[in-house]
Amino acid sequence: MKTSLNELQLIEDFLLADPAGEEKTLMQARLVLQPGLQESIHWQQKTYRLVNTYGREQLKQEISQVHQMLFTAAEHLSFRQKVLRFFNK
Amino acid sequence: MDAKRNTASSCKDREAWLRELYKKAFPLVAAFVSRMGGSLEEARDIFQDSLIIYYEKSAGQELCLKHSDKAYLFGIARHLWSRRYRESARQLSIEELQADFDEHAGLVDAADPEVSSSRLFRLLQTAGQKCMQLLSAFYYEKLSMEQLAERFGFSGPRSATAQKFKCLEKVKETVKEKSISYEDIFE
Repeated sequence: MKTSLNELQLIEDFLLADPAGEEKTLMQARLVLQPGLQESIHWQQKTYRLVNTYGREQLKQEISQVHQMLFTAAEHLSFRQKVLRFFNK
Repeated sequence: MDAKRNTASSCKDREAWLRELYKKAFPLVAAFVSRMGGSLEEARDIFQDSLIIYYEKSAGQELCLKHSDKAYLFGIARHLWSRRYRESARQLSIEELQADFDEHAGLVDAADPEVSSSRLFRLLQTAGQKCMQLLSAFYYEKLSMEQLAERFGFSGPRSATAQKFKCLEKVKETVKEKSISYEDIFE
């Protein structure tokens, strides 16, 4: 069964917003009343991890492209020479 | 001083921000790594990880170039260097180890090689790309709903919020289904 938007929001607040004591207690009460909730939290947490890994992979690719560009494009020759000099000793 | 006005002209999109920082700070890190007996490849790896850490610290703010960027990046790079390549942990003070742990905790946690090579991750990169882009703009880049609406062409923040939750729902369903069917556990 799909997770309701309400539940997504609830879990998001619980996982990402660092809830105050009262809200934590409320969540614990919900966990008792809704047996599937624990599992739902688990999948949502995995989803956030995947999304963050995806975000970081995209950033890594962008950084690699910048590196590639600085070490090949003609207009960055002096930058390149400056860096390579440190290693050509 | 009006900091906002002062830095407005040096605020960049991400690609330009990365390029400027690379040009400004990489030579400094390369000189350091070379002095420590390291290679260009080691300097590159250390610097690129430092950029990621620095970006993640800045995420959610406007990407503006500052005078302190170079020193900050150099500090992170030097730290990563001593941790990874040369000094034994015993030589580091507790404060250094603690700071190192803080920096590393984030990096190790999200850049999980098992996650990025998992079948599920590859599936989401292709089949769910649009949603992954939207979710990563919100959760990783920490853009506001206004910025999200602008980038993805939604009518406004409300519509962006609705789309974000639709995507979260969709991706979460995929994560659940595929994790169970592949037994593709990435922990």
